[in-house]
Amino acid sequence: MSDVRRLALVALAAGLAAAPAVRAQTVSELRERVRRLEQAYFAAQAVAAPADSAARQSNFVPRDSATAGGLHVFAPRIAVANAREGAERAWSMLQSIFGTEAGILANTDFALQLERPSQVVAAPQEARRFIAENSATDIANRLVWEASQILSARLDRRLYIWMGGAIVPDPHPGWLLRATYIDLLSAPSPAARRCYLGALDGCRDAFDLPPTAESFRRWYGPAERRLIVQEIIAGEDIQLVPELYRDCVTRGDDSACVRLLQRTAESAIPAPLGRPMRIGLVQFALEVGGPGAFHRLTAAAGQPVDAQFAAAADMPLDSLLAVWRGRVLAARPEPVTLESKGAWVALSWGVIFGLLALRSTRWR
Amino acid sequence: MFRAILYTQWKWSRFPLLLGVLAGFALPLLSVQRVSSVTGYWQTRTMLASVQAWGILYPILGASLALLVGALAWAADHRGRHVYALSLPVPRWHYALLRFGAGVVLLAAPVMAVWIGGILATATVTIPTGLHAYPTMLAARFALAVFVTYALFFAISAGTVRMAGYVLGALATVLVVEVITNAAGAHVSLLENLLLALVVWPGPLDVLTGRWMLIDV
Amino acid sequence: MSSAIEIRDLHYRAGKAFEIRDLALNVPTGSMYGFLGPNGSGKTTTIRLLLGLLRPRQGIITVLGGSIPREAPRVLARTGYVPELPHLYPSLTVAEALHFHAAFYPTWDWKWADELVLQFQLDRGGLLSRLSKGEMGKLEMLLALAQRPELLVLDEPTDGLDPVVRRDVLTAVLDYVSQQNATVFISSHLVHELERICDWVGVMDRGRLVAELPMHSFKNGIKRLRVLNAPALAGDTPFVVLSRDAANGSAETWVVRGWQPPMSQWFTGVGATLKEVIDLDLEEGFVELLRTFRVPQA
Repeated sequence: MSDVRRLALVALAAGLAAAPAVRAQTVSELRERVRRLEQAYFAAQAVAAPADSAARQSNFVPRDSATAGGLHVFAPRIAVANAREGAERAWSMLQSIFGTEAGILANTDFALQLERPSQVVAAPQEARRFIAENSATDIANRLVWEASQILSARLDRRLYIWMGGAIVPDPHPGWLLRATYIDLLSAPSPAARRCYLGALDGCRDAFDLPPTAESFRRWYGPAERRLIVQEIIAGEDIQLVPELYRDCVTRGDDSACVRLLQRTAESAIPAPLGRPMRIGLVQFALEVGGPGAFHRLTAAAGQPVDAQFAAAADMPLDSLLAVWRGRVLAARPEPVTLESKGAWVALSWGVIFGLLALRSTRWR
Repeated sequence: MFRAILYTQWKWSRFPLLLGVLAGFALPLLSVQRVSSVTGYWQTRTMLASVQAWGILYPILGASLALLVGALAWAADHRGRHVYALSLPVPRWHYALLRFGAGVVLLAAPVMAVWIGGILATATVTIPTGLHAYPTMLAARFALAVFVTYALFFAISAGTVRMAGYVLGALATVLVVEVITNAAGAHVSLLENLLLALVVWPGPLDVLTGRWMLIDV
Repeated sequence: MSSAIEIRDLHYRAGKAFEIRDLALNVPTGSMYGFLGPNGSGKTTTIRLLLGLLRPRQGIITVLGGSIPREAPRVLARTGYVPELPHLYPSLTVAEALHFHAAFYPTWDWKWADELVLQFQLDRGGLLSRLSKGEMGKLEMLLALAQRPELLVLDEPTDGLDPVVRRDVLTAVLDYVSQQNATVFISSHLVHELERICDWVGVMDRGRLVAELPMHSFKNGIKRLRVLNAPALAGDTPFVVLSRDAANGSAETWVVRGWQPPMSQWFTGVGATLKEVIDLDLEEGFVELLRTFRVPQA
């Protein structure tokens, strides 16, 4: 980051710090505040960008390029070997999710800007720049992220909003399945519990498929709604209508809870299976659908979301959910108590230290 | 002979041990206490969250007990400059083994307390479908953690002042090298790597890390 | 005559300030060996070396036929040791200390231990940390005796004790020796105390053994002589001249070792006159011995 840009951002931060304390502010006030901060940020960016460009010009280094599949990366010469290896790994990951559609990445050049030492390559203006350390792993991960943004932008907008983010292939996909297992098991939602126990309508409800206006009604019963109001969104919009809060929490009036939740921003209400799990379901559909799945998914843009799933996975949504559920249950994490390997290692260390202690010298 | 050693060690470390037994027994019970007040679909998440939050205390308890018992095993001998221990008619390794064994036997008490507390705790709550109780595995892990840390601190305490000086000197050297290399612009994290070597598998203190779940999936 | 303790060519160094050099020592079996020396002369260090508590640089140590430190555990099982400073665990009671100690000695005599507890008037329930110096000294002696050792190594066992306790402790040792024919190696800087009980004496100073001889030789053999017209050079005397000081006029005062009455003839032979032979007590002899030892080194 250049000095000018840093100064601009520091000024922005100072502005934030100097702002009056956030005290008893309404949502509309807060939104207005966010809007003003955004304006300040963009103004700072406008000042910083030309300065950054000038700084880049001053430390441009000779470039080389690496190509793997549809990925073409300009990189400083000292990083070209890692860039090549990173691009190969990234391409492999991208292909596994986006299949043949990953080929469209050939239309985009990527330019690697090294983090340490800070080096910028001269690259075409339209090249997509990304910052990474000079290691194949970091370059691969950053490339995958950049490329995924490009590919995910081709998705249907409703599907994208439903997912809440781009599809980014994960180098360690196992953790997501294990996390999904935990969420499916422990989410305080009758829908998630039904899904866990094998009812596919429960899975549809837990995922809010197809998306509905008041998804919280699908996810939670009256008792859960009350606790969500009490535990999770209390202190936000609730302050606007204390009488509703009282009716909901103290008197247990579900209609009051529903009205409160209706007034709450959708993103503030926790989904039983949240953003990573939704993206995970799309990835799973792509995996099941094979190399042409992403192409079919983008081709089905404009159709209902559940129909897009069916198109990608090449099977009805319920069938997809059934296979997905089976996979999740099979990924049940090992209970984190004691692994035999760890036990033996610990025991061995204990014995080693014990033996060292027995060598305690009599010469003091 | 062993009984005599065991008795002295019991006398020196009985207060921390008794506290450890109480804490070890209470921890599993406390970790599920809040769960009983929660019903319905929140129970699973509450149970996992509560058990995980309280779980942090198991390695802390185990390591503290092991440290105290390991250090107390030698404290009296250090005070008397080991004259009494060395004038006893047993080889040094035999004496150290007796002291080591006595500590292990004493530390079995808090381990048992964790086990019994765990069994009682899991018997007193309704465990939601999909979750399982692991009191025995938890106690076994606690036992291993206690054993490893006890052995480590026992070995350190068994050393001479000179040896402690060597260890501290080595640490100081590492620190100085790190400061100098970093000042020279090279980013070397010797201390961090040393710490990681201790706590990351297969390091000796790896057993203390991670989640300590009385109830888990 | 067999030796309970035999030390040859012993060399030990503790830092730069102190060393024991070329130490040779022999304690006959069944003897009471008084190990004399001023504070800091190396008595305690020698005792720790012979018990295997310190590692010598070189030399041979044999105790009760066993090589030290290799066979230290076997030797220590037959040795009662009273250290210079209390070394027992202060958090134990007297009874607990007895039980702890007894567990390590197969020859432990509970009956006698109980008798000694009564004799020394020790409170079984008393915490060691609260015992007086005298009580602690008696307990240390009790522990050493009740294991019925063949060798008693006592390092300043009566140092700092009042006369009554000192007498109790030494009486117990003498009783034991008379029953058991054990060897006693007792270090002290209180010369009179050893004079009464020891039959051998070794004198240590600055890390070296100055003299080792039977007590009667030590007591009877050191004399102060008043000599007239003493020769300038006293070459081949039949006794050892420890010191000679000019007195008034032609008179000199000699301190000699190995004196026997017929040796007065020697003075006549060299033209001198022996005016007076003065007996020295053990302490005076000890002081003179150390003085002569130190002169050449000064």
